[in-house]
Amino acid sequence: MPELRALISRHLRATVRGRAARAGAVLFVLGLITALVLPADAARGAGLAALGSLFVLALFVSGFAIGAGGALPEDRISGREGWLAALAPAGWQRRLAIVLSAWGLAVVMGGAGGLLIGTLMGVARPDATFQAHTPVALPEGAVLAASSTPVPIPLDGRDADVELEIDVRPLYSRALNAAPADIVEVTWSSGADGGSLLASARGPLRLTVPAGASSVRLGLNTERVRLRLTGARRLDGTRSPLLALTWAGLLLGLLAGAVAPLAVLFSRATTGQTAAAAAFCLLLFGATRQGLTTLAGDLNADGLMSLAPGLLRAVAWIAPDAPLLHIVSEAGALRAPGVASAGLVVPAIAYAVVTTFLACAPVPRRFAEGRNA
Amino acid sequence: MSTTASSPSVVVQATRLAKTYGRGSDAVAALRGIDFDVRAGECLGLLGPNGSGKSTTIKIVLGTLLPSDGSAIVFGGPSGRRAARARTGYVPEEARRFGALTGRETVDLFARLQGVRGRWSRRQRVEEALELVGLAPEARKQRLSTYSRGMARRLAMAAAWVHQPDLLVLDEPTSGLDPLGSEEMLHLLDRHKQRGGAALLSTHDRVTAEGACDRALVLAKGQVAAQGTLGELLADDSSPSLIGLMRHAVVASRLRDAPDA
Repeated sequence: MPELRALISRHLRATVRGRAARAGAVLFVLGLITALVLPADAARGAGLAALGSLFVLALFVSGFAIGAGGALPEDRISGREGWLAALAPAGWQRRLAIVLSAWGLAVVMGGAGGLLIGTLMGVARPDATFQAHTPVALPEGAVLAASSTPVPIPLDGRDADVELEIDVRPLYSRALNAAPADIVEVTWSSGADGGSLLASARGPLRLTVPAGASSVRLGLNTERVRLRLTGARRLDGTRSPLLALTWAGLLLGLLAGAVAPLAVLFSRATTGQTAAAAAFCLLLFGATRQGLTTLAGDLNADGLMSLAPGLLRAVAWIAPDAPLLHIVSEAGALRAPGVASAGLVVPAIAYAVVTTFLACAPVPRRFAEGRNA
Repeated sequence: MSTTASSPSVVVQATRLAKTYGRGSDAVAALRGIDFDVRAGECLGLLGPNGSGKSTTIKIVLGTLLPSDGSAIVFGGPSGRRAARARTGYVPEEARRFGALTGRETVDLFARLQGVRGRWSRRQRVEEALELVGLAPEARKQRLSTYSRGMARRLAMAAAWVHQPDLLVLDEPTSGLDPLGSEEMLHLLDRHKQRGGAALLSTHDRVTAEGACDRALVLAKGQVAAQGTLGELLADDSSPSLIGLMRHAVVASRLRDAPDA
């Protein structure tokens, strides 16, 4: 363990003192200022500022994590690898140190960045408030259509009125009579109460359900369009931006850092640039995984194009489940990530544990002469 | 000083050591079955022209290369074992720099990696090693990216010596050093031997060879062309110089390789 600590400390120093870190810090600060100051729209300004600044933070911490792919090739090219290989620690310890330092740095940077953004938001956007929320379960594959029966959403029958927020998006179909619709009319009913509202075909719609309701039934009055229900939540009051953004930053660091072992794994056999590019691509797929899988589910194609859903699913399966963009967009909608959001990082951590084992696995010495066996 | 299983004072025992790079028609024999040993308290010099197999021998002893045939026993076991690596100090031919670290941090890193425990004793060892190689106090605080080649070599020497190894392996240790630096290196090597340490050193430099080596092995085309004390080797040769000795070794190996020889 003391050797591992020494190796981690070496990599942390090398990363923090490197030119890339200095350039990244300057870009991060510039990006942050731009994201916080530019959105002038009073109504959506705070959300855009949170979205932009957390997006910049996600890029920044991802850069640190992906940069782990450069350490082994750099040692190899400079000749330091042979020197290090003659010392007591084994090759797997050297690789594990790179993984842990990159991941740790990404988490610390994420948390510190979130804290900084939260503090700056308090100054630049004092009116910004974040909504606490609790997820509400939706029926599997819930779709609204004018021709089908209303979809029931179970509620827990609270004493007070429930403010419900439901995410919808239109379903794609390749049909001659398909018509894109921007505004749709959604109906709702709960016991004796009910009504309808005009809402965007893509995005959240809000409705207030009277106290005591055990469920709400949603329908659609607009023809030739179908809406998929992608998420629902009960809104539970406001949260401090500082807390919400620090927690979001930490989650971003944990998720982005989970790609570090993958970068180290690639870098065992490739150059630093190739390893970083490959890790970045997989992180990108992982960050958009949710969208890719739902897109694969929605695609209705024939001929060779029917391969597309399978390909999308395969790509999503290989990539780490790292919903970075989900966390960023949640903050952009001024929704505070709750404690339950910690569950989002569990698949990414499991993925990282497996890739760490692969990155550290020794190869037979005859295949790794003079290298990090 | 610990000992080996074969003999109480043998630290390195190489037997019929051979190494071939590549396969088939591309195969290049770097070592062709050499035998040597290094004992505690002595320095064995590996002499020979470029491509004679000195660096390959060193890498096999360190365990970063596997021999194609024969064996290299270090501290009583096959080379490259963790226990052997922890007791070995290595000065590579080109002292690559850990650019982001300062001189002191680099030597401290090597001390930690080679098992020197305790912050205070480690600090003491680091300062002592830096003092021994003559690295100025202000240079110790500088990043390695600002070091000259000579300074980097001194630092590599300090890094190899900081954990007070039982075996020092030095690949061209005085290359790039000024005369004062070479003398300090020889002084450090002398100190190492006095405390019973063994050393394996490759060099082209006569001053280094004469000042450091108790015995020498002249390699040519992967074979042992001559061995003995440097005095014996130079006295035996018609040209009493290292260049003459190497030339003689190369000619002898060519004659051996000739089909009608």
